[in-house]
Amino acid sequence: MKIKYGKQDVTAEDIAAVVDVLKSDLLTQGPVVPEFEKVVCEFTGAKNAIAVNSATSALHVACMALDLGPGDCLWTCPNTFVATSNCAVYCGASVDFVDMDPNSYNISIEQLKNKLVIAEKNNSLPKILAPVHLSGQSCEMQEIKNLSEQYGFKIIEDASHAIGGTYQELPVGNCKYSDITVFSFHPVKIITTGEGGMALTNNAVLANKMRQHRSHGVTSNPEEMSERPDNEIWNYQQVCLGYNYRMTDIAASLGLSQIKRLTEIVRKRNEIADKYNQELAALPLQTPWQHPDTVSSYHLYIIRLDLDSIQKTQPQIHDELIDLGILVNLHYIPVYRQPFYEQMGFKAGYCPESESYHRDALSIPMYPTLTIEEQDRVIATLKKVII
Amino acid sequence: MNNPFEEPNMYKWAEDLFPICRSITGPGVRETLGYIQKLIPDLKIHSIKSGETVFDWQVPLEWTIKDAYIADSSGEKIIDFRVNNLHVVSYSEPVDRTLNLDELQQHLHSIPSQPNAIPYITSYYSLSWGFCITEDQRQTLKNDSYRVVIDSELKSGVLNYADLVIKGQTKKEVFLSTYICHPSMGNNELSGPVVATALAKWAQALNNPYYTYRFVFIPETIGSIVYLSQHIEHLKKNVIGGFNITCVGDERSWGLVTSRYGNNISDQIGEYILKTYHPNFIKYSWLDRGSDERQYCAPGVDLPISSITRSKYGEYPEYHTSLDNFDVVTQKGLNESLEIYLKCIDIFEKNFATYCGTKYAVTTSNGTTALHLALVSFGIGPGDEVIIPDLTFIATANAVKYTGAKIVTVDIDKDTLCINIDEVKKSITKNTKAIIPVHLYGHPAAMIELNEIAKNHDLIVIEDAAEAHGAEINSIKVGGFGHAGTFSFYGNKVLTTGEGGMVTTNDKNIYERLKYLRDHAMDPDKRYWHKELGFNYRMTNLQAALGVAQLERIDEILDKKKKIFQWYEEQLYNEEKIKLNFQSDGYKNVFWVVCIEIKGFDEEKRDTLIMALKDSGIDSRPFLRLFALINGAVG
Repeated sequence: MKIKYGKQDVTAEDIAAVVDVLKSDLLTQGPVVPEFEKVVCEFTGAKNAIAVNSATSALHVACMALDLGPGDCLWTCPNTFVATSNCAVYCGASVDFVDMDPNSYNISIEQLKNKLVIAEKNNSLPKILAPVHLSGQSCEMQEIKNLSEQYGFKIIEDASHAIGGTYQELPVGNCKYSDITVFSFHPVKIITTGEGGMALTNNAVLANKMRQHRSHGVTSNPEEMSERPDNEIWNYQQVCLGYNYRMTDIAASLGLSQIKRLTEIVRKRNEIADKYNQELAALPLQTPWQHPDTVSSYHLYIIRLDLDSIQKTQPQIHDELIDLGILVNLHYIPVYRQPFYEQMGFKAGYCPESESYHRDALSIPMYPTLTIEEQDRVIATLKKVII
Repeated sequence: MNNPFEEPNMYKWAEDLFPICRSITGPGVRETLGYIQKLIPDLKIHSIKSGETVFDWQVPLEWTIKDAYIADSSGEKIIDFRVNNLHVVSYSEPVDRTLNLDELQQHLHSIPSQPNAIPYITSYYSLSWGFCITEDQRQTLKNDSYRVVIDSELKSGVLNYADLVIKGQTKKEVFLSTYICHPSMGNNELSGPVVATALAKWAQALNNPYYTYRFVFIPETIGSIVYLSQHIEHLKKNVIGGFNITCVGDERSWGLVTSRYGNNISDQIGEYILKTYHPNFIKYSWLDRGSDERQYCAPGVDLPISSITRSKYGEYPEYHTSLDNFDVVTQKGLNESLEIYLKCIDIFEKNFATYCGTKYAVTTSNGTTALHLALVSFGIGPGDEVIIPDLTFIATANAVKYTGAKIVTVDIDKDTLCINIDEVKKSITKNTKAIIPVHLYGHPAAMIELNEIAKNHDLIVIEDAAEAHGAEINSIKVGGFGHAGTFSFYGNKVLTTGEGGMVTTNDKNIYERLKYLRDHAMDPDKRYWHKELGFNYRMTNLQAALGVAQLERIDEILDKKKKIFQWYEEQLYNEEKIKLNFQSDGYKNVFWVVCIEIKGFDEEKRDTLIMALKDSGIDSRPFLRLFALINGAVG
């Protein structure tokens, strides 16, 4: 049997919750989406949550709500999925990258500071910074927030990996140090809605804008509409250019059911991580370092191979593990090395830490239903391949 | 399956047919087709004369074999065609000579690595003769004089083949082909025709099937060439999918031989079904071809045909030998193959692309993303103008706006409420790139006229069929008229997946673009590699499962909508006062919503009526807003 790097856990109770919605009057734009949003608010402590059909959509509505547009720039870390930067391109803005920290694999505060100093001189400060909580470990948000106040940029936390994690003992998503936080509910993530995402914010104005952008730029609130003759029905008005990024009640019911187990899931993921930490410690690889302020939700368990002592290349090790049924993965190719971003002028060598990481990192199986036997097999196979 | 179908007699049919000495022509083929005709009396047996030119091939002479043997000097028949008809090389010319062992060896065929197998050898197009024997027996031959006799005849006659067409509601066909040209062999001969016969019996038992089913029983290669030479235009126009059925009798493995590009709907369905039920199947490419897919998928023919096999020809040790017998073929193997083919056909019946009569369909997260994705796939962008009707949901316009293209709205036809053709003509400029007709409320726009305009001005036509699943013009479904069609599966639509959308197209390149851009433009061959800006517009399997189940009931749903409309029409229609949804001649309106226009009403009266209905607990809505009335929405 093959062991995947991640997979969803759907219970009979989850399925029953979905079936209940299918039997109800409304499959979309019904009561379950707001209920799911409310529960995520309660869990994270954020004041507003806007459920959408993917984290890509959440990032896009977040950028639109923060008025990102042509002439503006969004900064992020290159060690992320392309959606984090694509959302800025959708808005007509440009993108720039800040290299990662070699320990946490998240955005480097030192590099960020240096880049901001230069950008201030060049009058090229970003409008938005999108730090990414890679694998579920929060970035150093307090430092980032301080810098945002100094330099006047907005913050979207890309917490696609990180629902259930904490920073300074508060849940990721509470937006204490950001304008908006984005979650992903893709099946490979901590909890799932099939495809799905969410944007959280403590700012009611941003929340309202994101709600409009989620549904065609349409509002049904008479106070938000422009004046119309009284003798006409205006049950809705389009007030800005929005998209259809709605989450269905079917999808939300799955998320609502799954989130009941979130604490348990994150605990299980941490147990698996602990076992890896112990049993891989003596191998020629680096296990993931954890910042003392954070508890990771461990969406991914990323190892970095000591290739000099292993005497094999990363692709060789990757392929051998896959041949042996351990379906490891790599997260991520530095975004600016993508052909689409190279067209914008980015060149190899731009963020050396991220590139070095790209050459020696692997994500090994990590999901809550991974059994001890399966994990033992992963560890044994890894040993076989790299020792 | 709605109606489980079993055919317990396949094995017996194979046993009955086994002894017949078939070749590509002659009495063996006729006898075989005659047997199958008894099982499916509507089967039509055809013939074509020897020497006829079919494409760049020629129909060969007809071969009849009466007897063949080798006798040693004592007169004992050491090899006898009557014992096993594989002993004689198919299409051997007549011979009656006495030879020494060395001379005889020149005409013998055996397989040293399979010493107990009689090989199957043919020589259709170069005149020769020969015998096939086991290697074991060949080793025992002594120096002796041998009389070789082949009592055969090669004369001008006919080549026979048969077909069966079961008419469905649509002319679109599912094409199922098998061959009947090998002598006594099981998996690589009789398994095909007996499973095809069972499928034909199943199709005949269908009550008013949606698709037309065409079954073809032919001698391999030359038969498909003959069949194509006679029907190619019809087949290219109407075949929506199908399979070449061969090697479906054993229990050892599963295989899929794809078409040339491996991406037509039959390939996809075959791959999906095998992945689901037999995940260890072997996927072969067209490079591994060896049967009639060579002809059906040849350049210029390109029928959407694939092939699901058990142990595939050329891939199992008994292939083309006397060992390919009933030790290989089993009733269980045949049953399983029948079941898998029925599952595949079931998907054809439930597939949205085939429902719309298009070659491809791509799901999306909703109808808006379907429109946006279609526009981006055609390269619509800044500087372009896109013509849309003034009366539609805002998503039609917004999708254009997302691309940066300019929205040009034109008025509607007062009867159909769809885009007005004359207004379209007036609005075309040198920057016009596309037209998006909307099949408003379920009535198709005037697609034939629009296509004519589009052709003359080299414009892309994208049908916004969000509200019109199943609507037709001259019995052709919407979604297949334009370069692409887009559908919505929002909660209130004809079919729903909660939220959901679909793009239909006949253009393979656009199909590939749609799939690529829908998934972040991730390289299909290289994960996490992105050459351009894509989107996450994917539909989940969860939504798709709902859609598949809904599509099964679409006829029922549309019938009910029609009935509801008729009830309103009977009660409300009044030439002087009340107008209901329009239906032009030759158009099928699906009445997604029933709308009424009341003469002499103004907005105040209308709103009073809406409020009065609301007080009685009845929901009604005003028409969609004209864009012209929405400030800033257009431009």
